[in-house]
Amino acid sequence: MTETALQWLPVYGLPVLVLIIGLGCLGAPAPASLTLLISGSLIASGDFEAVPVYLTSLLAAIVFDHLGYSLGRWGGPYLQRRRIPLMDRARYTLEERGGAAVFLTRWLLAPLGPGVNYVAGAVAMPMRQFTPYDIAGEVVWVTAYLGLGYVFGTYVSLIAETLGNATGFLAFGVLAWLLWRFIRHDTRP
Amino acid sequence: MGRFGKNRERNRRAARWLLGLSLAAMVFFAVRLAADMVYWNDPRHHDQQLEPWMTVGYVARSWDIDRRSLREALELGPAPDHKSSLGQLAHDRNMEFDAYAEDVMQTILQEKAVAE
Repeated sequence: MTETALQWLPVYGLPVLVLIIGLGCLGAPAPASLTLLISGSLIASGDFEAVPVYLTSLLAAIVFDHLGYSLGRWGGPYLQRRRIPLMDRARYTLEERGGAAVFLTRWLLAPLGPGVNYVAGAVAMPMRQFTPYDIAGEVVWVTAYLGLGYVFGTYVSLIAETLGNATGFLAFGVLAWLLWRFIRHDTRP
Repeated sequence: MGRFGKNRERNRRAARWLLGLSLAAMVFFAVRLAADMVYWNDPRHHDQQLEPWMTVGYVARSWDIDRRSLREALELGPAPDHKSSLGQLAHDRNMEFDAYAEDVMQTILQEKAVAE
């Protein structure tokens, strides 16, 4: 499925790029990082132009992150009424370290990115805090993945798999650690 | 136990479930990472495969052959299908991708032989 979708990337270019990145930012299982690596290698082979690809990827990531944030913000009051202690914990964590959480989940802990977008909106993290860290994180993500694709074009599938597994391992490790702290804190009398 | 207490208990259970799932996901990615290391350490797996998203330009660059002569060898016109991918070229020819990829690979090997 992924492979057939990606064969349209060189053919239709930017719209396919926007679609895959957008779906990825909203949490759908779309291969956004792989797509960026491939785009980088297609810049190197002369099939794509660097500036439009870079700007489009960056803009798409930022816009769709904010869409996720807005959806969370819209659904937030409903969750608020249900008095979920995990949500209180998430709000507390985001108030304390929200900037770092948003920044790192754009690239280093990428699998948690969509979830952080929704939760940041749901707990009404101020946009003046969300937006700058989101932009900074997406600049790192887009630059790193396009750059790696450009430089190591022939090893795109190897890099995509390795980075995907490494960020997955890190992201769920951090999530497990946060949940463990929450449970320990919560069960203490 | 009041409403809040019941909520709290349910929430605690949810947190434990999420923790279990996160740990399972962590192990899953660790195993895949290790398996990849073993796979890519084997020199037999260093040759790269043709993928549907690859363009002729990409193939020429990766296998270090002249782009124009590769296009000619694959019987492609010069300009109009500039940005076509191998997947789409196979699609246009009503061929399975794997069969077309085999043809392209033969052409690549011939081109490399000619160049040497």
